Amino acid sequence: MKKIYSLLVFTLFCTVSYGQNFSVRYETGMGQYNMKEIKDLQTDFKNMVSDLDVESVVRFPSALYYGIEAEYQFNKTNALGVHLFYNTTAGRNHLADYSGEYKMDLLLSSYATGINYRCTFSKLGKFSMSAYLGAGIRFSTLKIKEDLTIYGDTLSHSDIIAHGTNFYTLPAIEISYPLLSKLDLNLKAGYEIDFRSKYVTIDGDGDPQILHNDDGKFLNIDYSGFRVGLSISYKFP
Amino acid sequence: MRKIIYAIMLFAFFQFIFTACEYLPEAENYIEIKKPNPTHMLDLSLIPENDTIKIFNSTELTFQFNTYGLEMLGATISIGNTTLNAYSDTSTIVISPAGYAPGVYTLNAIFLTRSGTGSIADKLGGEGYKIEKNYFLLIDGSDAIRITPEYTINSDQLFELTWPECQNYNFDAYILKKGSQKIKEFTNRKATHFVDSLYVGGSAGYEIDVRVLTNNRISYGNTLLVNEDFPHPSFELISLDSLKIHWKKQNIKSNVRLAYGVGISTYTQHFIPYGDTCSVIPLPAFGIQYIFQLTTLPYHDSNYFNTSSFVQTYYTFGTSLQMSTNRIVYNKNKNMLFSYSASNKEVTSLDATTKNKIKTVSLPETPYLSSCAVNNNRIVFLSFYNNFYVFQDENLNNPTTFNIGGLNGYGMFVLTDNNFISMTCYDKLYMINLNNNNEISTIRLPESYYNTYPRVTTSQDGKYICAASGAGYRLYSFGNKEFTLVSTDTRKYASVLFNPLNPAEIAFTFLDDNLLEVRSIPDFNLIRSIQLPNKYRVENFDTATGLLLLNNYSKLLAVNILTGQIHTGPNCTNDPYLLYGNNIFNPFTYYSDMTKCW
Repeated sequence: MKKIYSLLVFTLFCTVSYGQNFSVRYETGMGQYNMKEIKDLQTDFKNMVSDLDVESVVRFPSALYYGIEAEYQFNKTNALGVHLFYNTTAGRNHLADYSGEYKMDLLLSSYATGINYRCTFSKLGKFSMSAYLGAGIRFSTLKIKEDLTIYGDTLSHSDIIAHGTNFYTLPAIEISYPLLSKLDLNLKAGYEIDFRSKYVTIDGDGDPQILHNDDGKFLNIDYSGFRVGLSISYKFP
Repeated sequence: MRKIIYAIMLFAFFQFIFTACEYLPEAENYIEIKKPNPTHMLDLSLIPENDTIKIFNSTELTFQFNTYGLEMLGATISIGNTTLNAYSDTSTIVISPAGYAPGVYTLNAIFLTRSGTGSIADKLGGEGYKIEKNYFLLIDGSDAIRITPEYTINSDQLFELTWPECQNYNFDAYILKKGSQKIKEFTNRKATHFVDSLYVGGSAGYEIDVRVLTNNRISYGNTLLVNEDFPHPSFELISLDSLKIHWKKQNIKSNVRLAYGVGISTYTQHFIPYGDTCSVIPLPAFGIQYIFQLTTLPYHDSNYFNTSSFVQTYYTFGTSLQMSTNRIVYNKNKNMLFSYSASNKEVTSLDATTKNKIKTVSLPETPYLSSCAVNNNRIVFLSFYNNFYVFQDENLNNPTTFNIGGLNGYGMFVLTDNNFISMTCYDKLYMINLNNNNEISTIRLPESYYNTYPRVTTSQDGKYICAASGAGYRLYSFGNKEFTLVSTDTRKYASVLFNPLNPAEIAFTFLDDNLLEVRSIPDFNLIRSIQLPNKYRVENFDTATGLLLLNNYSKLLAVNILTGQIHTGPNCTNDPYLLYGNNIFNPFTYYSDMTKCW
């Protein structure tokens, strides 16, 4: 992660340094996530405590994502930039009554960084429409927290953290509207395609352990899904 | 530079924002459930249902748990440091005593049920009802230690075994064995003594084995070897008629049976109760060995007979010369005995008083008959082959030897003081003159005498020979090689014998009268008539004392023919006996000094 951060800092430095055709933007939106295998895993976890009437009360719903971009406008049509997005969602198996509580949270968060290309292909009044294609690598973290508490006593507790990486691409359509001379409001909609991931955790002996799904393959936490975001971009003078 | 700082601060800001925006689920699945009642009826029972359960073998204990509708959660059954789990409302556990040190244990049984509410705690076993019960277990699977019994003679003078009490909880029985035979079993742990009234002495081995209930295992005890002495008979001569047998009083209260006789078939038995330590019996016949068995009998069961519980010993009235020879002749002048045997060639001379051996010589042939003169030291032997060996004195040197053929059927054999040998062979009477080249004179007794078993005697001076039988007596005088019938009668004589100390006296006993008559020779006048207690025959005169020995085949008498005094002698058999130097001899070289008796 340190290298990633270093790269981003370098990119922003360059952006700020060379001004004129550079712009930065802050984006937030709603991400929808496929998460098929992790949902199956959540179901498996639920079934493992079938004695209890545990329900999967949260199953990796759509959630806000956040991101920043730095972009260089080559000309009126083409721009190339770098981006960093933060995605998060979660699942929960849960049961509670007067006697105690069972809770298993599967918390997912990831940093996706890469490059993007934007092609402005149409202007309609103040609105301009662009095609967007981003691609990069995702650094994801899966936290599995399980707690069983009976009459205030914790009977069991586990906390597992796994890290995974995968490549992704995001094609999207974007509509921009200039709020001020150097400030634009952008609406972006697209579908992110994630490639298979591999998650590794550290077991009790300190050895790396790869997570697998029911089919024996590496567990794939699939962030694929629709992205609809709103962003504000600022063009450096 | 300022732009760079702005850029960095901007990045840090977004980073902080992003991280703070991690999605945290908030939805919950809370179920409303009624809390359980504080109490619930449960019942737990255990089979077997004893207050204290004895575990001496592998034992099944069955718990029956009635939950009254609730689901059983489980049970823990603890014994000492061992805990077992059970999951059924009818649970059986097997306890092997081998896994426990002997002792009393508490069995703690805790049975649990779910609360039945369906709550998380209920389903996970964290909520429910509990019943707990304790039971006492007496566990012992050990072997008993080896027991070593001891014994005492108790205050009742009975043999009593004692042994230490077995401390095993799994005790079953003491097994008392005597030798290899099982005597009794004691199932009472406190029964640690046993009076064996049948034990009266002798070697015996007692063993107390201990059987435990665990697989009926037996710990064999150490053997106690007992060897209380039986009473040993001692003998005390009370008189010539009676013998006292006595013994030391038994340590153990017991009766005694005294059996005695020449052989087992002739045993006479006396039962002697406890407390009596002696018995007086008729004195056994002189020189006859009696076997005495002193059998110790249980006091309360005198019919019980243990063949080993007797002490056997021997008693003979008389003392053995301890010689291989068995015939005796006596020389008055030297007070010396000569012993010889018809089975070997040896002749031994002994001091008649001390019975010490003086000399032993071997004759050329086995002697069969012998005679000593009375008033000199000569002695003569006759062998089976009719060889005569005449010695001049007790030194038995250089005998004069001669042979007379055709002699057999020997009877009387006398060496007279005038150096004649007077002997009978069947019905012939011989006078052999040693002074005259062994000149022989003979006379044949009339057939009527011979057929009535005559006894023949010759006076020590060689002048008279008398034959007496049931047909009367015939007195011959001898001189000049001639026999002359002096007198005769028809009385029924049992025996006749010249007095060697006085050739003019002769003694008679009768077949039909208890008289002893002493008559003078040759006129045959009655000198003395002595009334005897029974019919007797004369055996011999003791040339040392003059006493005449008589025998009636059951009792010996010694009679002083000068005074008529009768000395009662010991019991006897129909063997021939001799009286020399106041010592009675039998044919088996037993002798007894009668000086103290007479």
